[in-house]
Amino acid sequence: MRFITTQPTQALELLNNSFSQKQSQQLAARVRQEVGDKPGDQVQRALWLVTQRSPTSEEIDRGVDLLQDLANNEQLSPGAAFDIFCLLALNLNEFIFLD
Amino acid sequence: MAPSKSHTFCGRTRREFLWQAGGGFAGVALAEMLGRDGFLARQTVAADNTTPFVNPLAPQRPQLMPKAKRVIFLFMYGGPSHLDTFDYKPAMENLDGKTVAVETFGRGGHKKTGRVVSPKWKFKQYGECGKWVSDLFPQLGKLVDDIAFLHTLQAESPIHGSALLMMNSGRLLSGSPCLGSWTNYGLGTANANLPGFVVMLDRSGGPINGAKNWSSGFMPATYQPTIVRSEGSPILNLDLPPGMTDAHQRNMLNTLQQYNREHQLKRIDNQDLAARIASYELAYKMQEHAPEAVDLSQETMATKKLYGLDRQQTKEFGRNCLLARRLVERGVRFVQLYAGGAHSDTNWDAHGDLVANHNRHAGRTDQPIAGLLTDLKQRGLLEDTVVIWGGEFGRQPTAEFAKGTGRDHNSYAFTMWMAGGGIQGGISLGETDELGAHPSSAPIHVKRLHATILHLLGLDPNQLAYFHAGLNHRLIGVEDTEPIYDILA
Repeated sequence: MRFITTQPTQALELLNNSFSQKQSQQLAARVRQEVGDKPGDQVQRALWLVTQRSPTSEEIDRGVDLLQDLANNEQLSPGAAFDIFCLLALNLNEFIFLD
Repeated sequence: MAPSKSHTFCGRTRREFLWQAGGGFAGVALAEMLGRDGFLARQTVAADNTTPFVNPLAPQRPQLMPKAKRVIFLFMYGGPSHLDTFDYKPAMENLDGKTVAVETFGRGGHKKTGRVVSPKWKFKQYGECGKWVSDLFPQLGKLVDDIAFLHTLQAESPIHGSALLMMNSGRLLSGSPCLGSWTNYGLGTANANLPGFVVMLDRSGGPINGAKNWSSGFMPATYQPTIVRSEGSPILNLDLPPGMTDAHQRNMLNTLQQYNREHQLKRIDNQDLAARIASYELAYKMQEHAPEAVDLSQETMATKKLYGLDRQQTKEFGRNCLLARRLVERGVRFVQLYAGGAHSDTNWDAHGDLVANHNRHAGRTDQPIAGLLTDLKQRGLLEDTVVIWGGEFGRQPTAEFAKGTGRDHNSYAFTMWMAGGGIQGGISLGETDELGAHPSSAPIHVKRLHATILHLLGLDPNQLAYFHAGLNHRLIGVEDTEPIYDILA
């Protein structure tokens, strides 16, 4: 039985690894297909999928803010920005840890 | 599960209600405990939701005058035979093969007699102190004037699992923090861009019980070590994925942490959440700083040769020793290297062919360790780096089986050595009997080794405590324990 540990190398893996990239892109594609292109809808759906609960309006706003930041300040396309949000979603403590 | 506020009585989940009402008093104690060193304050978020992250591993002032700033623990997993390495027993040479009365206790149980296996290597004197060292360590032998040998180490279990736990955490049972965690708890780390505690394993695998040996126990999980890989790239995934810039990532991480901190507020007792938040910040910094730290191509050919990187036999452990030097040089507080892994002859556990086993393991480690000490000394690092060598126990003077040279475990008496960081070189403390089976002078319990290490770091072993489950836990246990003053410079 593997003993639970928490290490920065795990974070590095989940952030930078090609598997994580692929999974977040697939999550993003699925969400786009299910709810369309509006940032609020996309954030809501992505959060719902990883946490299995309805996100609060604050949580949705927070995600939309990130998408806007990435689009405005970093000149990312909406698609690339949402891919990053999905990477964030897969790195959430709430996704990784069960109560 | 976060409650939907309009549907729950009292506006919170049952879990929260129980926690706040029934668990309230325990919660108060817990919160006080976590808050005591400001840990809670550093993890929670202010009303403005933008409290900057504060590192729980931030350096702290030690209690006493420290001699050392960092520790390298060279763990000889499996239990090297003290009789064949550093505890010279010339009287045994004439007794080879004879059955004698001697009490031993190993994995084979308690015995009252045994067939003597005399030391299988010749010993020579080295240095100004004239220390007798076996032919297994010709390189280390040259450095005896920098080393203090302890010959009467004593532990409480002759079985690997519990002995490893005792050597690492001071307890036979798992669940308590290890020496590296205590060190980080007491001192923080000197470089916030790297882990404060690193463990490197043998390529053949880890020791019995694995991560329990370097557990942070009941302390916050941020005091766990980071494993640096023993083969290939020491740390993986340091590069950003294609298309992502540092700015993208930092932006994403800021938002991620906001989600994580909010999630944590309702689960404040769960240390793993706080540790995970901290691990992301450390991971972010490591992307920038770790690649250089573990890049051996920066080292000269002369240095690589010093550690044995040019020889097949020594290059594996040599690489780890060289990495250890680079890491401590850059402020990593505690590095533990395991020499030997998995089971039987892949580590020092010489139950079978003693000669083959120790030739192999000394052959792999003598040059690298001597190289490490020499390199630390040349760079002026040895004087404030405590280096420790040893395993979880020693070995018996008598044969385990009817035939062969294999020795069973011996926790009644074994040898470890220390160097650097305020340790007096060229001395030996303690004597064992003619057979090296038991101490003939005062035994040195493992916790005295721990007390000594903490003391050298400027931490009072009898003061450094962590409150958990009703007890002010100390690494050295419930009885006050003195450092081994006799070996301090």
